[in-house]
Amino acid sequence: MSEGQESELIDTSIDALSEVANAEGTLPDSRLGLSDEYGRWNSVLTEFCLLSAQANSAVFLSVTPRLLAKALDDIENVVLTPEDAREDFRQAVSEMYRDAILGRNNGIGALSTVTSDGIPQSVAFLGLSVLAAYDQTRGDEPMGRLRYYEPLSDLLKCEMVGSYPKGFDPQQFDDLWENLGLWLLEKSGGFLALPPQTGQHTAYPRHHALLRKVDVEKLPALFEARGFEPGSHSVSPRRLALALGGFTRLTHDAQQALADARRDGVITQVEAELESWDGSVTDSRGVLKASIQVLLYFRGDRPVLHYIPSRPKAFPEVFESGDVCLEAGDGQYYEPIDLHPSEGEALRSGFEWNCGRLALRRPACRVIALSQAKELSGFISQAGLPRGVRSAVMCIDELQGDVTSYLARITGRQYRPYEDSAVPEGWVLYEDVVPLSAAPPSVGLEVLEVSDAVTIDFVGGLRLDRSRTWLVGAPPKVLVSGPRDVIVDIDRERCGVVEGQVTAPSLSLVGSHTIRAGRLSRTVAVAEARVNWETCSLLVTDELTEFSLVPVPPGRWVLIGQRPTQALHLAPLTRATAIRCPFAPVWAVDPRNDRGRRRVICLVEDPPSAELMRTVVNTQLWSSSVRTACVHHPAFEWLRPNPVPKLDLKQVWKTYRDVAASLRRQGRIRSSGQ
Amino acid sequence: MGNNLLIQWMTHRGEGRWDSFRAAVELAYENDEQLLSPFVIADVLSTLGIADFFVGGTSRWRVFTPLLAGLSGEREAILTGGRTRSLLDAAEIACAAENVDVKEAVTNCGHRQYRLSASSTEHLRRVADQLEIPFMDRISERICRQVTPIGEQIDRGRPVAAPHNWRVDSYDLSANVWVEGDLGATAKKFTPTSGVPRYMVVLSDGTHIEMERRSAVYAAAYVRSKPLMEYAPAESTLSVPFLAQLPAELARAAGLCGGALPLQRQGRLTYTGVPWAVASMLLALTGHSIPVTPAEPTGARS
Repeated sequence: MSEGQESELIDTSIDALSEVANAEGTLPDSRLGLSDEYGRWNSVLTEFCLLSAQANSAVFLSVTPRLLAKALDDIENVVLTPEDAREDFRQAVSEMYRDAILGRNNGIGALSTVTSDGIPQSVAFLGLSVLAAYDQTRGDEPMGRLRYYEPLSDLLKCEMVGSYPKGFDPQQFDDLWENLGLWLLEKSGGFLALPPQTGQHTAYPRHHALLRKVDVEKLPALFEARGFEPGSHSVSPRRLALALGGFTRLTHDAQQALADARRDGVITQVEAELESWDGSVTDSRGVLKASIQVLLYFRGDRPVLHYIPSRPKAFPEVFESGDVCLEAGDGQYYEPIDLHPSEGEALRSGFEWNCGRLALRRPACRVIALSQAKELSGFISQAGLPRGVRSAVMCIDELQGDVTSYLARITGRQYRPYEDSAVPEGWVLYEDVVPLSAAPPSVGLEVLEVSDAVTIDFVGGLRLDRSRTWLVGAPPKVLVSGPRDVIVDIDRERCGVVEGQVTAPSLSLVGSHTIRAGRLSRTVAVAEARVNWETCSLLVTDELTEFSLVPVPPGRWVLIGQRPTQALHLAPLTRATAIRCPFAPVWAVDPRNDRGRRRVICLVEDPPSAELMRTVVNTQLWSSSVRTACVHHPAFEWLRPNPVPKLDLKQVWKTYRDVAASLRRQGRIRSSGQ
Repeated sequence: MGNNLLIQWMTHRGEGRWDSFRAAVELAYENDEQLLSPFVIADVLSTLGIADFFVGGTSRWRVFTPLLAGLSGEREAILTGGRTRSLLDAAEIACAAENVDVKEAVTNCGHRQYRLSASSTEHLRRVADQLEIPFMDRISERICRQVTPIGEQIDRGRPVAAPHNWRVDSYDLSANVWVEGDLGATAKKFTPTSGVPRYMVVLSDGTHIEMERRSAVYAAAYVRSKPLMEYAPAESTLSVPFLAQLPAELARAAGLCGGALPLQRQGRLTYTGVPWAVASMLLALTGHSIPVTPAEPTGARS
């Protein structure tokens, strides 16, 4: 936006809002008793969209699913997918509408009241109205001719009455927007973006929708074409604006937004989309492609380089392509794979791995910017260099002069490439690059452009889960990028910053902590570990405790226990093995009935005497095995390297012989009795 | 310090993949002087019953639930599975109440182990009750019971095709080393140009069965009737070649007899304090001969 346009916008805002204020006086202070869920979204969107905006620029309530997820994450440290965040938000607002507006016969004008925190209760409702405009996808038809109110009633889950959702008053709707603008002006001096005066009540939500869903879905193709790596959050607005300006696939409405006072808002929205992009894009052949990034970390003093392929949801756990076999890692990547020194040419010219209708692609490149990875340890290839934060750079040999010169301009230091055999052939590596000022990069070095965006990132430490919660004793490093004069505080205590790293002793304490850098804030939690009973596994499962595991030498055996019902005939074994036996066996007895001695092996250190039983049922195998062995003069052995001293196996065996004889007599008596 | 933090983090997460573990090791130990390989640390944690790695042949790890594991010497136990600061604090209090001696020992790999000694098993059980975790005596024997014998693993294994154009390394059973090239019926490692290797055992008829690395070596030894394991009854020690480490569960069973990591001696890994009751099961599970001694003193045969 030009200075003239910005000035005009501000003047228009002040005039319009002052008019409303003069007509209606101050905002009323009654409460509607809205649900906690609605209150939460109301508060989150106020904080994220309205109060965190840059000073002296128009403020947009441009609600999209991705923005909702990011807002919840940044403000409340709750992680939801964009789809889940959208549904959670929609449900909260629609339930509010059903209960507080329709249920109590209030007009929507009642939402102009403020909460106990002094926030207008209309923010979330107005946000939903913007989401309705975002969702509208009737091709590239300009929004002006689309039906707006039916999709809005769908989101609100209420019926249409005439041209509007039930309970909806378009004039009150306009008033809510204007009141919000007034409140923002009073609260923070911010200027809510005003639409052109068209007389249409849908002007506000359509004006704040910036890029609609139909345009957002085209952005991955732009990112890929421009070589932006997924997750990049240091691409300069200038570079993004240039890229968007040349992207002819955007709808007319999107191009209009880029051309008018909403341009900065659009760029901010695209920055957020790029930062959340998982690297996937569908090409013209219908092949879903994801990107391969470069990961650098140091083991001691030595650099270690990996390829780290993205793994979007549609990609399998194992990705096989010829002589490439990748396994899924935690999070959104496959396990890193070595980037060998011999792969310099492949890194330069790019390559692709295909697996059916899926592909992983590393684009051709001559320069790589590496900044702190958020979820991984080390530096990851991303477009742009964040100001004030340590980064690294790689380039091909031919560009060494240009890069060295550029780095000197942006850092105020002379750099020499890092020499190590791990660096790919034909490439050089610069480490400890801390950009202090921006400078226009020469042609070919655009990826090294310095971004002035204020960002707060957390690296390292032991993160306990997907939200920003770290283990006490292993907190993250807090990195803040942006202009030198940005003021950083943690829990309202000002902190020092060195090379982008914030001194944060308070993160050693358990609890929730808020880090602020300028108007940006992030919440992190530090907590004790708890046992994750749901996912831990058992060292020993109980189900096998009723079995005994018995080592058995090769041969033919019947295993017998202390009781006459305990006998197990084994199949012949050609070698020693371990057998699962349903009882605790004492002996392994050779069951053959031909000539020669029979081996009887004692399987335990302290064999018990046989147990006499009254029943003869199921004792046949036991007693016949004992008798057969006795008939053939058993040769007693120990299943161990040394015999147990002072223990006479014959004496113990005698008890088994006696019980077998007793069982035989009982069997005869029973037979004769029958 | 790094070790306790790492285990607490793993306990909270419950499970994950290798890349997250590797990154956590580097972060947990970044202030420690000793820079150990994540593979070494994983081995320690696995052997001492803290966590399982490469679960089902994947890159997944999973922490075991906290458990007081009775060692083969009765009246001694160690804390296995996940741990938190509150659990350790509670253990100290419970041991004091039951007059159980608890010692924190640090292994040469920096792992902190909590060893309890009591006058009876009942005291150990009561400590476990106070901590609301199970107590299991003779843990090594129990672990052995749930292991599938190597012969059965081979019989049940699904034949697969050997990958094409992947680098092949073979396990030389004579020298007990991995060598480059194809040595026929033995354990093999197939490595792609990029990505994770696959391990297989090749049978005499050329059938390839995919297995976890260590199991593949023991399966090859089983097929070729080549002994890897040695038991010295007088010292109660069990040893294996350094490059033929026991499959994880068997290593755990051996290590938790005495609650100690194996020692490196003359090219072999030696587990101490292994009673015959456990050693015999380990020999049988891996298809090794089991010594049989006549009751009359005329020498051993197997």
